[in-house]
Amino acid sequence: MRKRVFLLFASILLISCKEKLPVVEDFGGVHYSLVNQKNENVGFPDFVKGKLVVINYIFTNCPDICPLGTNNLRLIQERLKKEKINNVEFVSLSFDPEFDTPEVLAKFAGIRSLDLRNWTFLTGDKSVTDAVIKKAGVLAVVGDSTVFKDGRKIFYYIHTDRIQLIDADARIRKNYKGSEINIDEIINDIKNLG
Amino acid sequence: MTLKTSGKISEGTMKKLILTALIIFLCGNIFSQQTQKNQTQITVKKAWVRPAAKNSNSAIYFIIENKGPKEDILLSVVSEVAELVEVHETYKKGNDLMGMREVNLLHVPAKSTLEFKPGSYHVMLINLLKDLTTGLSVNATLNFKNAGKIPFRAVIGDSQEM
Ligand SMILES: [Cu+2]
Repeated sequence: MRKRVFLLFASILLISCKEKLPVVEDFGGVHYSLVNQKNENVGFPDFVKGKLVVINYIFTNCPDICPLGTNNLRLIQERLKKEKINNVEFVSLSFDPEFDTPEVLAKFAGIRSLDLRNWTFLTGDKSVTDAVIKKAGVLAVVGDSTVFKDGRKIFYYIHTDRIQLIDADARIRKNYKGSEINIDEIINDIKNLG
Repeated sequence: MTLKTSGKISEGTMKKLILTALIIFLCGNIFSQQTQKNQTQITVKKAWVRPAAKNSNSAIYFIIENKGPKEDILLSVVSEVAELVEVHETYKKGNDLMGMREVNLLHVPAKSTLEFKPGSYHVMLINLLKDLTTGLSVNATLNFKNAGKIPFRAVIGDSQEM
């Protein structure tokens, strides 16, 4: 009897622990047709369903904040490898798809020697990437720009600095500050959801 | 004949004079450069630059130390690795929005340090002319109003510890 009460108590504790991250937004019922860095068609979030996902939102012309967030994804990936946690996928989605073609994204990852075995870079039609970031609660509006002598122009976005944790049912469970994320915190959250 | 000889002598003397003048000029020049260097109290430390692919952008970070009694102003930055080089600042907008803007005439007060760091000031390399690969380095020059040109080298990596 005492054992049974203990087990009940323990399972309640465990369940409440797992449920402590509220659902921020649900990607479950939606489907976005995107393209990865290898120029392959990818259905998001279908291709990562059943796994936890750590996602950030970037544009590669960003030299400061986006590489910081991306480097933080790399640090999280390394920690998970060390702790032998394998059920996590990484996604970096560009909200500047007109500049960030699959080739540009592949180069962005390649020059940083990122491990793409469980990390996908996504781009696609602007209308689709806009829909994804809107659903994710991420804002990206053109701020400054640079005009070159020959008239070429590149844009710098004012954007939400964000990393998100998505559960196995494609529900966003937590927002983190992309450039200043506490790695221990997200590792703990991953363990709680895993 | 006499005239010719005297002409030759004066030609030799002339050459010696020119040579002496040249030596004095060069020495003076070196000396003045040295004093200029001694007067320069601005140094650049811990410079690093993010890895990035050709035709994309990157940022250089470092610490400027002004040991002198006067403030100085950073007028511009030059580097041959990018089509355009600008001084930028990352800024917060609202709760978690981040933006970036150009900064002109950055003041470095007397006896102070100014850190270029992620999320703050950076030297923006726009449209890289080559790949910046981790472990290699990039040359750049800060151009100050008083101190003049301060060349430095930045190591390519993901943080200054690299
Ligand atoms: Cu910048």
